[in-house]
Amino acid sequence: MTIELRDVSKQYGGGSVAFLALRDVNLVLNEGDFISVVGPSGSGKTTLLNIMGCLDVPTTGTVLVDGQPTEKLGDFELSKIRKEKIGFVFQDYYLNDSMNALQNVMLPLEFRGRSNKKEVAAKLLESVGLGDKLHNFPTELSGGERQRVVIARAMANKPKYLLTDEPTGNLDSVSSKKILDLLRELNSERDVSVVIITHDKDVASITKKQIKIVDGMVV
Amino acid sequence: MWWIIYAYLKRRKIRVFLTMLGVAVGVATLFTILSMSGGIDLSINQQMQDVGAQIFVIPFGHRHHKIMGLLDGEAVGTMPSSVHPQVKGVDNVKLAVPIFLKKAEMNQLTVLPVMGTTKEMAELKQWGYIEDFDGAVLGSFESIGRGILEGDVILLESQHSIELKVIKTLEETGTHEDHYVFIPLTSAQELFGEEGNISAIFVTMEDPEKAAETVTALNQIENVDAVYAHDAFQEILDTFSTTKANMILITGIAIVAGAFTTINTMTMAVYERKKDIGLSRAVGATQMDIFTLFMVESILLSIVACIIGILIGYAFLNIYPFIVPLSIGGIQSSPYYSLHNVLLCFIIAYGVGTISGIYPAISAARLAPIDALRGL
Repeated sequence: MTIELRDVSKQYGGGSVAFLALRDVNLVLNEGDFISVVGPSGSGKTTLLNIMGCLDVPTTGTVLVDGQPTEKLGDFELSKIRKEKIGFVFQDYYLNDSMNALQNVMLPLEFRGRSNKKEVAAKLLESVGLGDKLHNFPTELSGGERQRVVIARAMANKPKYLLTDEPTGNLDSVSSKKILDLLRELNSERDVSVVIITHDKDVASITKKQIKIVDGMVV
Repeated sequence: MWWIIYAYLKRRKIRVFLTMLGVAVGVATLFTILSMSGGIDLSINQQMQDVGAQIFVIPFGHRHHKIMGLLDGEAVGTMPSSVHPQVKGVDNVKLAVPIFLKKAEMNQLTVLPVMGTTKEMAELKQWGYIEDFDGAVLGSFESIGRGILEGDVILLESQHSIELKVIKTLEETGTHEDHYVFIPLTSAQELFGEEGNISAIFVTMEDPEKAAETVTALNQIENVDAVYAHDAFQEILDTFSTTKANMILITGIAIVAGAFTTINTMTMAVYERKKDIGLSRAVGATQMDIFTLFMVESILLSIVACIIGILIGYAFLNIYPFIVPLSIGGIQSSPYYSLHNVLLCFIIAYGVGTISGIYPAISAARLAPIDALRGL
């Protein structure tokens, strides 16, 4: 059970404005891994995460999810991988403002065609300590609470891989600790492989393995 | 899926309402026109059955104008009574009922159509037996509506004044004849100062299969025009159909304008919800899921707008006749509500929703997940 990147490069634009965000990256995320990817702004961390999560496609190279090359997969198969195997946590939360916390967590369950969406979503929110805020809209939640909703949403379809992009980037220290504890718990107790993109050394220090990326290259 | 759409619609209530109003106004207009014209069609057909005559013999010239006059209770032109025996003598003529039709004042209260005719009219109209047609026969509206009973005396005034005893009151027919007063032909000629003249002759045939031959034979009589009643009504219906088609065409423009409002709203929604689309794609939504969400939302908007439009149309039709009575060619009518019209409105709304949704839905589905998340 792995996500493997083989000689992955990603180029944005072309000609004189071409920008190489990733250069020949080779990386393996194994079952149960707890990895942090550190590096300065613009080093290609988020691009790496997006490619690992099949949200973006590499310009060259191959991404294998559980041994399956993804470059020739169509929209349906890629969506199926995201739906069933991968959970995302974004720095900017990306919560749907038209939906309350419960509905935001129900969203992935809806696309998976689950019937008991409400019950599952409510349990997930309770598990992240938001049992009393099911019907609050994102604007009615604090930064830490929003990020916990995002984690609950990411866990809705019981993914094997949880890819998080600066999960504590917008949070105070107390909220950050709660989020990191939650991620550690998911990794240790539910055996979810977790990747944390961060530029914060303290955050990186809690992971089992650290990867440094500079100018699109793993160093 | 419905709850996702509901969440979006609920968040933007005013815009959703205004968008729906655009389509609703178009549907309301269509429903109103269809129901009005349906009622008029029905009234014309009802009139065809109730008039009783299979052939109209009218003074020569301006046929359409004269037929409309007969239906409007104000005949145009006259011909001499001497035509009557000639008409009666034509082969296949069963009944030839002469009439004189004009409007007069009754009891110094109201102006209404007065039809002078003969006893044969009772047979033509199937009023039942009348021994002596020497008084007035009142349409139901005039008797019930004004509290006039059999045995009462009414005063009619035009060129001259006459007083007549009411010998019969008629059952309601739902046609304009409910507003008529039927009196002996000679009394009508005296009332209007037209002794020796008649407005038309209503003819029935022994064998309706020979209508064409009978009309041809009747047209041999000098200075008269014989018209097969079916053709006359058909001509009115055709004239009305053209008007109806034009009205529906104009309504079509209103509906297209409504569709553009929906396209605009849905296209705006794609831009506004880019991040939400990206988010949905990140949590596993396929392109088809996104396409379906936008299509269903667009169709749902149009269908709800259709329901609102039908309700507006229904309300309007219940108020409008109090302002302007529905009438064509003197034939009063009421709106005709049919399931067919309702279904037609729904089909059109469904079409508007589908067409309006296609472009925004394709645009939304085609967004690359990562670009959508970045709001690009």
